[in-house]
Amino acid sequence: MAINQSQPAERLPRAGGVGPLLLDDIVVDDVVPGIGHYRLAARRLRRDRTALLFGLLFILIVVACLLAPVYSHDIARIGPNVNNVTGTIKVDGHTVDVVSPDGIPVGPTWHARYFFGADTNGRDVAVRLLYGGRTSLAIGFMAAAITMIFGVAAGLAAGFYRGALDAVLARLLDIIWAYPAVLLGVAIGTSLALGGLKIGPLTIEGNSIFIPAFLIGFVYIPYVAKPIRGQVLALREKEFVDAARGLGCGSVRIMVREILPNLSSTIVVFVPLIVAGAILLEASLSFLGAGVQPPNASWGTMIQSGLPLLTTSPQLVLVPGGMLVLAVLGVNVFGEGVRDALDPKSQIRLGR
Amino acid sequence: MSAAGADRVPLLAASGLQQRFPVTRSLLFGRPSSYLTAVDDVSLALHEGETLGVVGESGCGKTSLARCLVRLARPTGGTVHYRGQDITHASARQLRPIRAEIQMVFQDPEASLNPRQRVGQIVATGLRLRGVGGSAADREVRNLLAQVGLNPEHVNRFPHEFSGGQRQRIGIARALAVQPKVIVLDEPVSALDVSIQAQVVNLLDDLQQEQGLSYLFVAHDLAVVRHVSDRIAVMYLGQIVELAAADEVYGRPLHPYTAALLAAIPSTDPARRRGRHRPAVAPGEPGNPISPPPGCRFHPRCGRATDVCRTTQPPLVAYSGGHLAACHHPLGVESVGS
Repeated sequence: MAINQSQPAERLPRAGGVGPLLLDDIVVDDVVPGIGHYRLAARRLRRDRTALLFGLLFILIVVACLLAPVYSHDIARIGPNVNNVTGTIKVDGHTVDVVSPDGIPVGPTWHARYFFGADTNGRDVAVRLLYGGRTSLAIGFMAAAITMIFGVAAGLAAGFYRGALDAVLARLLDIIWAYPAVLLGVAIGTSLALGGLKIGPLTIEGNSIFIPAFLIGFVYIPYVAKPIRGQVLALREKEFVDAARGLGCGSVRIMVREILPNLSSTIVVFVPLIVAGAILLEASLSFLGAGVQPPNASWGTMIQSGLPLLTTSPQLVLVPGGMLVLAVLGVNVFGEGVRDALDPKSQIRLGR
Repeated sequence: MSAAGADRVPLLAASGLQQRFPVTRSLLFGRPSSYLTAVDDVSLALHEGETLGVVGESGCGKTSLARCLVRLARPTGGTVHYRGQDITHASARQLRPIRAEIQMVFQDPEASLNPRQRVGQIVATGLRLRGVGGSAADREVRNLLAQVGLNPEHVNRFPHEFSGGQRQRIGIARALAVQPKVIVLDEPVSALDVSIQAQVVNLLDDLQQEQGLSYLFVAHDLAVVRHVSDRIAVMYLGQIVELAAADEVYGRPLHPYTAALLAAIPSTDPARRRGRHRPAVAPGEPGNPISPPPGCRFHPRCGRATDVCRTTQPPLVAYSGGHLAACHHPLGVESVGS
């Protein structure tokens, strides 16, 4: 071979080396293990105090909402849907109507019962806040799951197969995208809330929380599918995809085993942002009457039902509104921290 | 084609192979305004147990040729035969049994390994396709890693934890996992340090002797392929300009382009370097494959070019010893015609 084999050996200074360096089949053991993608991201995230703090805030809200039955049963001793229009409670030694004769509910008592006051039906706002949070968060997570599953699948298929499938999927996604999310949600939500949904043997009642979850998940699909598609378009041209094809791998195997793992950081980045968006959209839809249906509580329905009494009992709007802001802010700031940690140059923004 | 293998059916053969890529001007009404011809009328044959080197400058179509031969790309003209079977237009399903026999090792060891898979998974992909799974696959992966000179304990590491040479070894192990007959090596050592190049080339040599593999070894300089090749094909602008036994190409180059490539090999012998008469390395840039020069494609850069070179494309002609060259004025041969 014209690459003179002894030549590099002569050039390289060898520690204590005299004789020629045998270049054949050196097993190099002392590989410095590189730092993995996710470990590096975790380090960056750990330094991001703001993101961690807001993440903690969100987790606290989730835990509190999960403990709603405990609060309702052991502290407030009143159910979330128990009306108490004619009842009275004792506040600081005085006996007060839960709902006054002219329809004004009691304000925050800062005691176990009616901590945040009552609503017009005499229901405990604090209890309903936690139960409503369960609904809102459940819808947020379910919707995010639906969005991620279908968004990733659609983006993967469109980017990988390109051609006709891509064109059809792109147009379908464009149709969803063309409508403002809230408008589309109201339109579909209203019709589904009235009629319910029948898919084969599966019947979903109009007041089920699956309807807003499904709806919100559906509305956000293009926001995930489009960037995923773009990434897949780039990934499918990589040599390792050629290598897999050369080995005889089929298309599905290549998509699932070769390309999908390379999308994981995008997916991780998207999840908290979609959860935040979904919670917010749920509130908007419920506020407009197209989301969660009464008497079920959610933060959106609570805000809506409290609105007529905004001047006399502002806590009816401010309490669920504040909780909504905290939850969305928490998951959003945390999500952005995760994004910055995983991919400091990322361009992903949830277009809204 | 070559004297050595005229009587046998070649393992892998290309005939009149052409690969054109459309160069599209408008995005909307996608009528290609012109074509880039990466591979133009290339015929070659790879025989069992042999190594055929393919050499040429960057952009001369070596990689396109390699991708056509392993059918990662569909050639736009000509045929590819594997053991006499036409695989030029074989579908994915028809190719499946053949895929395992023809493997490819890629130029960039970084890009050709999935960054999100562990080495064990990467090497096991082929095993899984062969139906080997579980602990048998585990054992086999460790064997393969040992075979290519890697530590079998590193199965759980990711590609980024390895050096370039080691990554290329992983790529070779992945190809070996399906027990191939032919490996198309697309500049397997170009991305590596010179010292590592020698290691990998020697590894390939050993594997060939142990397993009776046949190689198509693509490289951009003659220095690398000399050591491993039985025969060498020299490509220029998508065409083969010279094809002969390795010693012939080195000892008696017929095409001025081959001579220029040989002259470009840096000498390691100071005495020779001083005394050597340096023939002019081909000046200028290689031509444009979208509109190649008329006549002989090399004529704008050739010191021996005459009028006939500017108008007539020289055919690939056999000289003594089965030495093929496409030149009107071959070196060391007294004028052929006018």
